[in-house]
Amino acid sequence: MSLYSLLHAHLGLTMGPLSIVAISAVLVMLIELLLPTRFLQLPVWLSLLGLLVALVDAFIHLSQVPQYSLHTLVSDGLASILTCLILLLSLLLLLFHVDELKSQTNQFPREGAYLFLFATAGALAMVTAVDLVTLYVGLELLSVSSYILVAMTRKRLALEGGMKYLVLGGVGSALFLYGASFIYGMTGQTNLYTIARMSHQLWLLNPAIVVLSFLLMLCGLGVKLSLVPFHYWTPDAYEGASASVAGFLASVSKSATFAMTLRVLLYLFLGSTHDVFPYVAAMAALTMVAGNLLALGQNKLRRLLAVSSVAQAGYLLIPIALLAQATPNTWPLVYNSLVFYLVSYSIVTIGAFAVLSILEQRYEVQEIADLSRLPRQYRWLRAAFACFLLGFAGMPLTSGFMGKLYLLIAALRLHELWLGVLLFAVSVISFYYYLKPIRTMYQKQLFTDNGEGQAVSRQTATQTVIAFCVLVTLLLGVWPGILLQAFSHVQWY
Amino acid sequence: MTTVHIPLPSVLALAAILFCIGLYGALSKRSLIIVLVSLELMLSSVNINLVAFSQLGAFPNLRGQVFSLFTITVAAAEIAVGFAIVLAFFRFRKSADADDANSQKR
Amino acid sequence: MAFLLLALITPLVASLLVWLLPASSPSNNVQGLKQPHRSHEDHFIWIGRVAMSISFLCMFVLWIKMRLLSDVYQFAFSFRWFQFSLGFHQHWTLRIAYGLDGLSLPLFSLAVLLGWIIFFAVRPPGEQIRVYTGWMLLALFAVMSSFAAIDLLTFILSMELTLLAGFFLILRQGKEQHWDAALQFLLYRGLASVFIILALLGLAAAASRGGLWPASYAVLSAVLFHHSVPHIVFLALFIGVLLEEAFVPLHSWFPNAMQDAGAGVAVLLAGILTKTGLYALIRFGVGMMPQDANDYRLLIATVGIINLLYAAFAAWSAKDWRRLISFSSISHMGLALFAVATLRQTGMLGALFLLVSSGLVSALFLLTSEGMFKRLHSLEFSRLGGLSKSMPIASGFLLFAALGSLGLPLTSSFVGEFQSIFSGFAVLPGFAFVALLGLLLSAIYSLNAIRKTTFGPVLDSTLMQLADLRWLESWPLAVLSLFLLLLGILPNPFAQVALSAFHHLRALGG
Repeated sequence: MSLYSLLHAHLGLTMGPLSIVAISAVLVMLIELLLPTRFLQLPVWLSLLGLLVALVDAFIHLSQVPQYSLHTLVSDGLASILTCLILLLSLLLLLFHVDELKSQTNQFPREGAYLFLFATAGALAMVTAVDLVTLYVGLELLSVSSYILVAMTRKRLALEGGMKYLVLGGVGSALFLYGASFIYGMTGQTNLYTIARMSHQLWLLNPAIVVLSFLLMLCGLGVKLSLVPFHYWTPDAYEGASASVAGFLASVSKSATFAMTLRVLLYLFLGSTHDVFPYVAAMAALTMVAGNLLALGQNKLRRLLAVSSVAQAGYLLIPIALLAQATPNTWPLVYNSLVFYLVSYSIVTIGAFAVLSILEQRYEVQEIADLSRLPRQYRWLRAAFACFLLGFAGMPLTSGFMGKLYLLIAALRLHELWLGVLLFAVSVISFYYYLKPIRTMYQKQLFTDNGEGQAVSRQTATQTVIAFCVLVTLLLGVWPGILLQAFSHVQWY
Repeated sequence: MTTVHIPLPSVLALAAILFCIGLYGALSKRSLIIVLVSLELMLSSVNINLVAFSQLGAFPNLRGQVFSLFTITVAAAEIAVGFAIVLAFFRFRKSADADDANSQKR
Repeated sequence: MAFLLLALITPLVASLLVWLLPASSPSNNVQGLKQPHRSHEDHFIWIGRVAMSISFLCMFVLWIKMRLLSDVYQFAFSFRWFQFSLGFHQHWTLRIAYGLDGLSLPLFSLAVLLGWIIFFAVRPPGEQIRVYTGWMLLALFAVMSSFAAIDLLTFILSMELTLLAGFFLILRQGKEQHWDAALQFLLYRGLASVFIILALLGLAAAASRGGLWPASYAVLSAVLFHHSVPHIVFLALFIGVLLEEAFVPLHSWFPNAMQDAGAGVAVLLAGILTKTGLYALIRFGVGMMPQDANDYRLLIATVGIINLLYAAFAAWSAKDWRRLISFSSISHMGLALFAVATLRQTGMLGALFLLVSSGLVSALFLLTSEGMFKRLHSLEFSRLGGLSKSMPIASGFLLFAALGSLGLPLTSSFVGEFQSIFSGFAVLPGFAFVALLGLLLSAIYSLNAIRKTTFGPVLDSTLMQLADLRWLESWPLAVLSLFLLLLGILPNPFAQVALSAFHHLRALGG
């Protein structure tokens, strides 16, 4: 590539936020290394600043014409919207990570700040890249940083969770790569656009290998998405990690991986969507049913949220499964419904984990039954938690309801009604376990707190995060138009 | 210089066998060290695949080799993290047995 | 329009007000000095009373302004809400849209009337008033809005909102084991709304032209009048209705919820919430899929008759008033379902009369028996007897409710039952004959229960010393009885409004 064309490659547009986050990650790492230990909070605040700058940058460029640079990075609708989403989510998570650092019970090392940034950079690469090599590097950057983040508190559960996540995540990466290597072998290309043009021919020439590599890649990504039957790491990792890290795994990591899954599978297998995507539908159905059934028996809040995130991953897989029937005319429906549900689910998840971190730090709440220890005057906290749980369950007036309704409409429109029916049927099961904590919280024999809760410094940041998440959850539930209206102008691909 | 011509299918078969061994090892072995080694084995088989395709595939080019370089580097980082966690775990439990890393048995 | 909006929005605003006002703390209440009737949260119930009174007044204005014999939606208004994109340049525009016609106005009024009565007749234990008022107002808004909705998504959303509010009402208001009852309510009704949502989306999809999905009732019924709808859509709706209405064999949630619920919640459940399902069946099933309804007429009639008989027997064998009331309500709904199956104007009118009068009768039963419960702490027949001596007023109301329930002429139930059976004999005479037997059963079980409670031997001397209902307790009962009589003596104005909604059935040969 000549220098001239490099200058006109719109690099600022395609990799602006990504490079800002990556550079600030390196800077924060160096600063943290050189800084004396008493400046505990400086790295976090610097990281927050970096994320904020990147978010502003991404937001300014949101409505610009999609660009494509270096044959690797794009700034199409999916990339720019997901970039904004991921940066926003990371910002929220890091905000309540600040409070976790302050608490005495949790010996949280300072490295967290820049590991968050590295993981975020990986997630950004996953949503902007259209080359298998870059996608893989992004995926691994996210994964390796997450392994460390999970295990970082060096508590026993954390190490166990990190270990399990690492082993299964490694297997997932290997499966994904193995599938990708076959695609490369058949086409000699690693660029998604180029392969998409060849995909139809590919399917005619060697369908068996196409199916094989599809399944390998699906399983590989399935491990990262914690789809059934690759979900075993999820409860342990979520339980061991600190609340902000668990929230990160459930929201940022999942959003990025879903966007990548959508893009990679659609482009690589464009010529054979009818034949390969039914496997995704089967997996979605399995994940929805098994995830919900598994969640019924959980007694610990962390594990409940973890297993419910497995079920939610099943719901999120529905739009991707719908690609089997979609034509380019109806792809916007698939993109819209997936991204809308991703936004709603991620915000609700972060809110739930933020509440959980307050509960754990102040009242050492582990089990659902412990929620009855919550003193009477914390009615805003209880209301917020109830709001998030109802959002997960898909009750009206929360964003979850609109998200599920949109998924159902998409399924109906694309003639895969059974998936939509299944979605709503298992949602009814999910009422049971989402309402169990609510029931415990609102039992009548609540006592008044006499200052027994552990003396913890005020958690203003966490409270801000919770308030923001409640607001967004309700706003999207009452007036989803603000987001859907924006989506209708987006050129997704 | 003479080149020894190895047919592509044999190389792919080798990679497939290595991959399966690695998968089996990663999912069934009890020693965490062996598990990590198995992970490495799986990634190596992917590398063999990539390199073989880049030389003997339908469209031979250098992309595969570049890809494999990335894979090797990233895999090294992953395994390093893995050993760090195993080490920390070992300090805790004086054991590197996968069964000991399962306090959540139900 | 302004009055409908006002009637709808007052409970919602009041509910928000209740949630936003701070809860007063109970701390300065010294033990032993608690006043029995005054509570620190008393002002909350007054918010509910004022709000429902405003709605109640608006309802009268609506009745006066309603134009007769017009089958368009009156007082209609709508806001554009948002769009679901369905692909390139294809959108599904959804609106918040309200309007009333001859079918929805009576049910809407029933909801308003019972809501108004609930707030004046029932007061929950002191520390629960705030929560109770907040959820009750929300539930009333939701159910009123689901009757007044004229857009699919507005209906769906209101229906789900009733689910949420109902769940919390049962959970917080229960006597014991309320968790199981609340959960059962949620699961059954949740499943019901899943089926109904599916059916409604199926309707919209079936009526779609060129990628545009209609959502307003008027457009839907106009389009679907000329097109057939897949049978599966109707069946989904029907299953949803069976669940929602607590029809046998899917009924177990309803008696359980009624058993544990406080009086206000019980009135809400039996009087209003179990009417939404049949409303949906008439509105969507008969109104928009008349052809399918016609095809499944025998199925509908059979389910209706089975319910009528089964629930009547179950009510007969009930051991206490609550259970009897809930089964008698199911039994009446069975008759109404049978009336719907006739697909004739008279039948529909009968069903509508039955819906309204069953709501009134259940409320009257429940509130009267609540007055006894407060004094006796039990409603089991084995512990009651001879109350006509100590509580003549309460016994009188109970007797009147029983007469209303069994369909005495001059009560509104008589009009409903007569019309249902009458149109049944014209279409399905065999079924109608069995339905007559069912009515006989209802006379037996209600009079039997009355005999055990008010007459019969006095078991216990304490029963003799009970104080009768006070004025504050009895005037809501008098209002309910008045409405029950009014509809029975002068059914015509009501029937004229309602008939306008069923014009299209004539085209079907009804």
